Amino acid sequence: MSNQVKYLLDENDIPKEWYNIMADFKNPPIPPLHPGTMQPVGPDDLGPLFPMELIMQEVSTERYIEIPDALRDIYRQWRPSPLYRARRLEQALDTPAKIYYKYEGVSPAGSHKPNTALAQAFYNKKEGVKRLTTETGAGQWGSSLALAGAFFGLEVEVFMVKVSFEQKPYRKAFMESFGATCHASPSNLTEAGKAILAESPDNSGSLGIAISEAVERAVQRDDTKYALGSVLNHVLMHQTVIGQEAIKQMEMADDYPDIVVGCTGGGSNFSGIAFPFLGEKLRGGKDIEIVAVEPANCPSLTKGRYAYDFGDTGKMTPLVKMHTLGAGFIPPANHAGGLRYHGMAPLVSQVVHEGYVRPTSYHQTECFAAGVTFGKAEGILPAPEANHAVKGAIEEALKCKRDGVEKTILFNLCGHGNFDMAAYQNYASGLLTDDDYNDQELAMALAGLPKVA
Amino acid sequence: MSRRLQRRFDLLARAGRPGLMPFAVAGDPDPVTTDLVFETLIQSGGDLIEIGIPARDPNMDGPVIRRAHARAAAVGAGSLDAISQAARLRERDSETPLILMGYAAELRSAGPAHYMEALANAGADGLLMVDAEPLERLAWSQLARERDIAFIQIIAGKVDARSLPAPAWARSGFVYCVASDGPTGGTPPAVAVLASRIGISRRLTGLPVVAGFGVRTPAMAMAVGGFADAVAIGTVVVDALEKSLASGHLHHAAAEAVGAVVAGLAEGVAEARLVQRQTIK
Repeated sequence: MSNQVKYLLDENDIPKEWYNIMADFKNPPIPPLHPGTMQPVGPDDLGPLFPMELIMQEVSTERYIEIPDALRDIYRQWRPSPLYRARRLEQALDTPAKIYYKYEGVSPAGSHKPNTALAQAFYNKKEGVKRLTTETGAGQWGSSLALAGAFFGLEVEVFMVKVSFEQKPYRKAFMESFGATCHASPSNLTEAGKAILAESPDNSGSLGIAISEAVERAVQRDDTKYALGSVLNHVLMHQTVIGQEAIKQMEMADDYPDIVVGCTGGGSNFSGIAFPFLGEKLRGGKDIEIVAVEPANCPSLTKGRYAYDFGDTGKMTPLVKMHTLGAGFIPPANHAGGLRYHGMAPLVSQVVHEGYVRPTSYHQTECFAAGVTFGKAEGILPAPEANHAVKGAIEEALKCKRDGVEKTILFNLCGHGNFDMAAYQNYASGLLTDDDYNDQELAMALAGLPKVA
Repeated sequence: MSRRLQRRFDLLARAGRPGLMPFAVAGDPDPVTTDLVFETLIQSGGDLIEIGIPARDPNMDGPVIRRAHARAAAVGAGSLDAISQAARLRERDSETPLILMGYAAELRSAGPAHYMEALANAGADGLLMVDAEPLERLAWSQLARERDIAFIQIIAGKVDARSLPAPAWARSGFVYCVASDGPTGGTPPAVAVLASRIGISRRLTGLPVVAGFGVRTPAMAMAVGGFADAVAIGTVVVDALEKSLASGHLHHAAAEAVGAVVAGLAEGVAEARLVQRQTIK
């Protein structure tokens, strides 16, 4: 089978457990703090926002947590997702490297996000919640939660970052088709949104602002909880079905990666592909290289500070230790809305801080160029976020070519770009710009970091 | 991990031989004898010393060690006697790592922060808690980490990447590989099985492995020591003490009897380096 392109698993191979990387950490995870008391946040503090089972997952140090059968049955709608050997891309690049990609665009919403959206909806439904609020950047997450709401009979209200709301009108239509409501954020519906609009009426929004709005709505009603699409430990853990499947599929290919690449915004798709492999490394397995790719104009891992900060602009969340550009930092507009987040998942920050992951950043035009190269070879146009992973993988493959070494590269193609044609159109017409962040604004945002002893 | 423990494993690695970790219960059978016994454990070749914290219900131990706990309890020895035993040994020996081993019931009533502080002040290097609840284990491991005390976890029976005790950050110093979930002093498994379990445990945890597989004879110590970083001996030590007590010996006489057995086993592990070299080739 030397020409094999797709490595496909049987539905019975859908993982039966999520993998929790905290079990294999050599250093304890750094606890989130209550901003008022500066004490570690306990389950009670999170109770108003999340159902208890998700809170227990958030703090668990068990290595594996069982995936309920009812949820695995829904995962069957698109899982296991295929692993591709990018033979045509390898030829196009004329590289000795072997490139594999895990394709999460086969999900109903077109990305990896339903892996956790359905899990979160499942546990909320189980605990009697009627309504979920959330934020979304590019709309991948909002679409996924809308879908999950439809599957489990929950009302879903989505605050979508305004710049993406305007760029991607079909995302809103998608969410509404599944019965969800979608507002452009900042909105006039919340105090957090009103405050931002009063200060800057043309504000293009950010994930940090949208989170504040969604959290504010959730805490106002007992029957309403909040769902976060990334960043939190349990969200990252739900995504590990990706890497666990990939491990089996690499076995089918009789191969194992030397390098694993993922793009990072909040850190969930990256963790999904990377953590199961990193876990093997932490337990004495192969010493692989792991690369996190982020946008150059929202570079939390490469330019941010590793410090306690708020997860949102409105400063409603607990303080978490993460790589942050400052909760007040509003990244310049770019088309990778899912990566425009000032912070980073604490677990991803910790593995970067401890040297297990090498962060790198690229501008959006070079990422689009990589995406188009990939699309022409492989036939899939990636989401703008995923283009960052594509770019990272191509750079590694070209390095192999320069050095004359044959390495095995695995990356996560976390979503397709079929909702992002306006962005591709702009790219093709040369209208796409690489707006850098303003150094002064970044310095100000960093100066505003909360003081933690 | 504790620097003293690190230095000792480094020293053993340079010497190319496994270490020996003998065990006795603090306070068994009286304060004078127990003090002499522990001193003898070091003098007759113990590279690390395991001090049993007297327990009311040592349900993971076999009959021999249970009787030792009962004798200690009969003279009123408790969790703090293990600490003072460690402190007295530390005064006489600045380098040999001292590991306290106890059951959660006694440690709970002693109070985690208070006990860990006392343990550190006594100059002890590690704590092994055999039956703690998961969350309790995390809390104790955190206290241990803050004081640079090794928090030792047991790997029982078959070991693989899934069954490895979690989380990794709650273990340090070394891992204690035991034959099974059954009580101490039972029949050890075959040498090939030991070799594989010890090798897997070392690779998965990245920590030295101390093996406690019911080693009773110098030959067994040599066989197990061929694969482990140190060999734990408990039942055989306590048994020697018990027999000596039964023939009416106490104090020096009892300690000498224990010392003779430990010295024999120490010779066994010293031979183990030959096995180890052959294994490496």
